[in-house]
Amino acid sequence: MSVFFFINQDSLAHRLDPRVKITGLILFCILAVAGESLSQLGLMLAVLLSLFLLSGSGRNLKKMAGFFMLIAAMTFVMWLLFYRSEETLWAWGNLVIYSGAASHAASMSLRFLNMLLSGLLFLSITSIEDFYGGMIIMKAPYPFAFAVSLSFRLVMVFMSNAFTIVEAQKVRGNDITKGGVIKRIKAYAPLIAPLILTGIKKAETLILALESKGFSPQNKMDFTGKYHLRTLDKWCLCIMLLAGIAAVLVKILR
Amino acid sequence: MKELFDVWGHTRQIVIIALTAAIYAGMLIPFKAIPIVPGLTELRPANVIPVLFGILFGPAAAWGSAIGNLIADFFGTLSPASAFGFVGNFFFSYTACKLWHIFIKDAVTMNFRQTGIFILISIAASLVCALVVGFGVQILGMAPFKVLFPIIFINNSLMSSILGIILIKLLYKRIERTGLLYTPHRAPVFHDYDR
Repeated sequence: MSVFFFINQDSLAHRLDPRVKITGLILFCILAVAGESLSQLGLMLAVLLSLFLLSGSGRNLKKMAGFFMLIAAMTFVMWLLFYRSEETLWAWGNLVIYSGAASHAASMSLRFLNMLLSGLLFLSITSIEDFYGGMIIMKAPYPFAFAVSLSFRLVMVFMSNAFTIVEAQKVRGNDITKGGVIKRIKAYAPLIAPLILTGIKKAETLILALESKGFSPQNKMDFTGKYHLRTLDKWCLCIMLLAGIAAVLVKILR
Repeated sequence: MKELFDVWGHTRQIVIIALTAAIYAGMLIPFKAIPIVPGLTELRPANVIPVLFGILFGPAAAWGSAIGNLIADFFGTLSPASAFGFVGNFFFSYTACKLWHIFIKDAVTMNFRQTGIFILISIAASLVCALVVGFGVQILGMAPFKVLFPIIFINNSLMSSILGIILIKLLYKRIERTGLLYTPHRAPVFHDYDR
């Protein structure tokens, strides 16, 4: 997480307690799902983009903009083609576009975009350590939090190993970009097998290391003193709570 | 059902969970996908991991696959659909694990019968995963079920069955020697010092 998207800065968003960040992520996702009209989803998009700028995370937004726009465009096209209503707007052979398809497709596309942006914002302002700490103080089971944290750290090792294996196999003439689908799938076996075997070796060492250091899944981590809710965190939680209530009320009253 | 949660009480199993998650997530980026319809359908070699590891490592691999998929989403595509990805990948791996150990109780040689069972299990596990993720994403309004379901189903079935057969032949004996193999029909894999 930190290697790719976490930007180590001293913005207000970065200083927030991990509990506030995790709650914020969940709330933004709920708001994206609850939002139906283009105006609601557009407003949410504007809020998210402002938060990106305020937290100094614009760099990540720029990096992912092309990919996210492609996803939004694909979502729009899919819903345009698969949306059904009673009134036909346009037909050409089997291809039928129904009335209301364009606005529904635009809403779905904005909804998806908002969800992705909420995730990216969270990743930009949250380090692995904070995510791990947040999980622990939000009462996630310790073995689960430990496994997630350990996986994050190991991912980088395996990715680096995988890149080395891919290069080594290229030198040996194993070209995974040629031939039919089945041939190309088979060509991946010599790449994946060494990676798995390296992983197994690492697991054996890791088990010994953890056991020799007295690790036990029944251990308790104490983050008392490291994380505490300050006035800013409490204000943020209040604002998020009010936004959540407002969204629910709007949905009920419509 | 109990075995699913028992794994969290053992150091050895927690390491396998982390290892599965890291290998799964770590393979998604360096091993580029094979595009079939560019921008819409692609085959991801990493999709072999949940089935292969589910058979080799049992319920720990199911948790690992779920966490691995979540970690992969942390590289830029984190959304509420990640929750369905978590559940879908969990059952992708766990279905393969349960079905394999129901049908295969003797030594793994990957003869004609075992290869056939492996392919059927890969297809069944892929179906479960595609149903969970497809319905989840449809509920969230992110993509229509009829588009996503066949993509996930074909993708997972092809990768896990073709690549899985080759890899299980290559790796089974070596992993058996490490003592990390999930063997519900033989001696327990947990040790007293794990507690």
